[in-house]
Amino acid sequence: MTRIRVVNQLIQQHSQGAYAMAVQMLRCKDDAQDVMQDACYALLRQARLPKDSSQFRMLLFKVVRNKVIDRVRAQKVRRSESWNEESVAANEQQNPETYWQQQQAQTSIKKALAALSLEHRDIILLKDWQGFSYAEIANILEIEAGTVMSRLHRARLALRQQMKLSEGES
Amino acid sequence: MTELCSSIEAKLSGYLDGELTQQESQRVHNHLQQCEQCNQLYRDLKSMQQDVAQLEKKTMSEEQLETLMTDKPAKTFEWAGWLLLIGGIAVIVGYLAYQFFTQDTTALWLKLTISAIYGGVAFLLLTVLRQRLIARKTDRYKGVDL
Ligand SMILES: [Zn+2]
Repeated sequence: MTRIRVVNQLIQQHSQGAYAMAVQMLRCKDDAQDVMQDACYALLRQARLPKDSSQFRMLLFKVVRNKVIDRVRAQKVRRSESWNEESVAANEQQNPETYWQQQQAQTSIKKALAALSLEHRDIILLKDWQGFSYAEIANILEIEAGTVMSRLHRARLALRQQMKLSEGES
Repeated sequence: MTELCSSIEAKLSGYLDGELTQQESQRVHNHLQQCEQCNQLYRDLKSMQQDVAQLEKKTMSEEQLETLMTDKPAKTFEWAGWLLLIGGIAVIVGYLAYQFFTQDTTALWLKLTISAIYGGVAFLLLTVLRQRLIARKTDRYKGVDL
């Protein structure tokens, strides 16, 4: 396979996940699409790209995340309000009971996540939503591998605190 | 909370994610069997992790995905397009105006009046265009359903 075909296949494989992350961070599908476009263009121009799938995915997330941050800085968009109420127009499922329970869990976790600092939210999402390993997270966030566990743990404790707070309210 | 508990607690996330050494993992495992407080925290972390994993992921359409691999950033093209268009128009308008003023035999007052009319129309068009562009920019977040 030619280089371009390999790269295209890798982009196809991993860009949906990166897009979801960008939408979550930017709160705008158009902006997220723009960022993806920029990121893929930047990647395609690089002379050396990892052919290994998970290496490529890590690099893609890193580039996308940096582009998102650049854009947010430029626009001064406030991101902390992301992930608030969402239209519950989602398709009906066979079991309304479980569906409703899931929706409720999703809403309260979303609210709690929205209340976290960007630093805490990002690391939780990279791990639990996108499934990166600690080593990969260290690479994406450009931090020491040794600090991932403690930062993630602090983030989760903060999330738990938020969940408890909102439970107390309702 | 005992000293042992706080040392275990710091490792709970690593334990949950399978990122501890076998020895550390065993130590946490043993403690969780005996300590209800740490066990409760562990269960909370685990259930939050499952909730986060289930959060919806927005996806791109097939066409959007396709453009990632073929298109250069749309912005660059848009800019280049506008630049060419405006540059072209400016040259033509300049040329016509020059011709009109130097070669036509019409009286000067008539030339100025005609120029004023054209200028007025152009100005109005630009104003409308500008308003449209602003409206489009502020509309950007309309379609978002986050
Ligand atoms: Zn304990």
